[in-house]
Amino acid sequence: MLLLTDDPVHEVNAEFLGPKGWTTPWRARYVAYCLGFVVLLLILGIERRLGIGLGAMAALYDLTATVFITRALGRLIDHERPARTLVVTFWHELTAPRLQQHGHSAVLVPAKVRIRRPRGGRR
Amino acid sequence: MSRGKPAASPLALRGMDGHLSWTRSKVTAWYRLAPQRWGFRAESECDALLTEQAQRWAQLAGRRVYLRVTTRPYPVETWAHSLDTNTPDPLPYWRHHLVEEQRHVLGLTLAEKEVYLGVELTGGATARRVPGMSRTPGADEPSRFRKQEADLREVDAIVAGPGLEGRPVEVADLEWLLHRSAGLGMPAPLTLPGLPGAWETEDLPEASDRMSWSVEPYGRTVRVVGDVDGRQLVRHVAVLTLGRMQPLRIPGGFEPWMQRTDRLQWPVEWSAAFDVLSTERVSKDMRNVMARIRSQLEHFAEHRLNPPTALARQEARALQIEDEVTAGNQLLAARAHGWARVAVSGDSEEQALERAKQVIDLYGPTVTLVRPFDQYRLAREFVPGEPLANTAYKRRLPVLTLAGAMPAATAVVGDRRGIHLGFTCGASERAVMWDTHDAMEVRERSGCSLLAGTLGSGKSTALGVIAYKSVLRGISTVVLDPSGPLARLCSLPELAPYSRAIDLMNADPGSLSPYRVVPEPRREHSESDDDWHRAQTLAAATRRRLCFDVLRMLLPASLDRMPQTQIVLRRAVRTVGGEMTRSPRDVLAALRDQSGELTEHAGYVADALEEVSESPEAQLIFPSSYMLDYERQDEPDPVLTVLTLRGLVLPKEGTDREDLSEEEQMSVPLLHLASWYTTRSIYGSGDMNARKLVALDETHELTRISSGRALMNKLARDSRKWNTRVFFSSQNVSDFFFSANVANLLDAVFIGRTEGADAQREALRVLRVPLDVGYEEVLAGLSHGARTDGPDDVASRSSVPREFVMADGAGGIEKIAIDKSGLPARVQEALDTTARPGRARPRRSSAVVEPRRPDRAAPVIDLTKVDVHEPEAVR
Repeated sequence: MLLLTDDPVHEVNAEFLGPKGWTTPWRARYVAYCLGFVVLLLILGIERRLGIGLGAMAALYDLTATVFITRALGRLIDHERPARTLVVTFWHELTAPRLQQHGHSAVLVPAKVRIRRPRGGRR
Repeated sequence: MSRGKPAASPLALRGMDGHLSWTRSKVTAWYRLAPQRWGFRAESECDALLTEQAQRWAQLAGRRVYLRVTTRPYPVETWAHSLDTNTPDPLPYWRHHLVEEQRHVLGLTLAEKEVYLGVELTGGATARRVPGMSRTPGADEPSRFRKQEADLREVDAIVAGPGLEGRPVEVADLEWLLHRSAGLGMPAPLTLPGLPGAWETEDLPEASDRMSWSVEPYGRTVRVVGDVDGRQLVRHVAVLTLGRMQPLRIPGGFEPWMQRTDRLQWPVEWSAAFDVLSTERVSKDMRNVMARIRSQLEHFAEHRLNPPTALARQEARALQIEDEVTAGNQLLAARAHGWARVAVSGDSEEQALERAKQVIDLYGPTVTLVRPFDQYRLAREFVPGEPLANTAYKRRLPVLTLAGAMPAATAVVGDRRGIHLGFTCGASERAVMWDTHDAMEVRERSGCSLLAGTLGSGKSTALGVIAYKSVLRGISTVVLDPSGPLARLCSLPELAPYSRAIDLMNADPGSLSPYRVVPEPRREHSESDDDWHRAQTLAAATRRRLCFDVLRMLLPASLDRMPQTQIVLRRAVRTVGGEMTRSPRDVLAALRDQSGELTEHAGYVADALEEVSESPEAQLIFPSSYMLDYERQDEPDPVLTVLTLRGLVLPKEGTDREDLSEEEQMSVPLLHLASWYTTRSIYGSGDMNARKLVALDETHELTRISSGRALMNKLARDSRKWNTRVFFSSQNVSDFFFSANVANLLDAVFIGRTEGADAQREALRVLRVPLDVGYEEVLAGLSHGARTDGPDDVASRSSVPREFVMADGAGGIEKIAIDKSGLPARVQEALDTTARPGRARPRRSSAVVEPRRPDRAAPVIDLTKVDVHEPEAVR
């Protein structure tokens, strides 16, 4: 028999085409806009730290950087890898145990698991 | 500088009891799934199996299930122990042979696949007090325990149903799974006991294996370092996850998608977690999806743009799914979503990645496997109880597609307590053990077996291996091998004192007299006096019929065709009677003494027979004097008797009687009589319970005349009562359909290479395998392991494995290869039936220089640390 999956049904490309009356010349997903917003905030924050003031040129640079970074990150996000998992994966990779020269790695010791034994062979 | 002790990473698993394991937040019940035969099965049967399994999944709606596929090394010691226990009276060499066999099977490194299913129980966790099997639930227990107990019973019942056939695991199995998963990629822990025992301690012993896992940032593999038996082993593990799947045609186009990895030469592990969704949840999901689609469609309409066609397709499919779920077959329309991971390991990172690439290629464009980031957490998922790494690569499947995984599909053939025959060579390699007398002693079926295949398909090798190992077990074996290669077994030093090779062409005169070869039934073999008389009458009738058939075969064709010949001959044979003490010479005398109108014709017949009786071969049939030696001889019966008829020239099939030469004409009755002679070993010994083995070769000749067919019928019927394994070996399968008796009584069937469409169809029919689905090509392609690389010398050509399709009589059918490589070299040479010019006796003087063959060094396997079962010394 022919066995199918339901994945194609759930992969709906939710795109934002623009506000009513004006169609954006580009096609971008809702996710991309959210991501772009977050990236913009981050960039503004970094700018603030670095002491770069606000101005037209700065805004232009901000927007350009936002678009580039968002596009790059957006390529990593698709139906298989939702945005949430990107963050989770990043965090896991950051905290994963490393092989260090002085032997610091995660040791799995199954001995800590308590087992109730059958006594006297009786189950 | 002091080395800091590595930080122990706590496992989520908190405890195990019975077949339950629990973490802080949930309790999981674990089961072992029974192996399912997938190959050589009709498509409808496979579909039925898929449907049944899908129904079981659907019944588990609302729960999370875990599938864990792992491998365990073949329990060699257990096998050897049970084989030894089942061998009450072996030859002295048996001890040595069994130890060697164990070493050989260990060296083959055949692993057994194990499939574990974990089902989460509803109701959250009860971390401290888990209602296990050892506790009797009483009225004073909180209601949540009673509810959980009821839930557990329900899950037990569902998983035990057809399609899954899961049995609750022992706690030792869970512990084994835990250790195996903690040491992902390591060789299977041999230190853990294979047999569950009654242990007293509460905690797991501080096992010697401590595993360290580490990974590079965004690394491609996980590095596992283990301390196994005092040695340090480093392995790299790459974890792949299941990506998008195209529509799969199972069975028919694709193998079950979790079973496909069995094709690889090295084992992989699977770990899958799936949530089986209830219909409400699915309906809700579908409504959400449709809302999203509709809003997207409206959005496009708003902007007066054409929406992509995919949207319309998705909407239609979503409607269809909702319809299936609410209105259709509720069970089969259930849905599941989940994640499936494959762990591939190697000695180095390059090897692990290369193997991972092979796995990805194996699944090809139909199913995508991806090696994502977050390898460490993905690898941790393999340990029971660990949480999911992330929710990427989520697969949404109907339960039918989930059933299409069929992780338990594997090669199932043979038993686990018999002699080592070889290994399966279909989709996966598993050891094949087969007990020759299991069918009669345990399953109470006949022990009639068929060995068929064209010339060179390896029938003699298979028979030789089985006979050799059976003789070592002390089973009385008689082999009728007309062309004679198996007689070399009698000259092996370990068998020589217990065996006898009889060349019937040079035997005592009269050994093959028809009156002598049919044994006389004894009173102790019959249940009552009446039975005994009936058996005696039957034996007398058989002798008469046999004599009649044999004498007819000895006459020239023209004389035999005349109807008067049959009349006079029948009359003469009836006059002589059927006692054991008569002889064909008495028939000649009776022919000459006949009165009536056919006297003259009887005389012609007598003359013709007398002329035949003067040839040297005929001395075997026509004794020169009265036979006196009906008493048993004093020498002990040999364990192995090989009867050869060397020099026997059998006629080609389809040759007319007139065209036969004298030798060919004589050969057929001799073969018949020799076949009857073999039955003396069964009935002559008198012991119905003793194990016996009879192998008849060239049985296609036997089926041509009535007494031959009578012999086959008798052997087939008596094989169970007399505890005899009978092998009929032939080049033609259709020979065995002459009688419904024999065809129905066939137990184990070995089909070698078969060519020709008709022969293939017959063979598949005997195997009970569906026709016209491609198995005919499988039969034609057996034993074709010609290697295009490697040395093309005689030695490697003859080491082509002898492949058979074996049906073991207990429902298992699989393609196997007979393995004689574990036997000592002298035995392998004895079983080698290929003609070798190097072995011929030299005719010229030794001035001729012979080319030297290169020595091949035997591979060194260090098995000194492995336990083997040492059988006790035999008397």
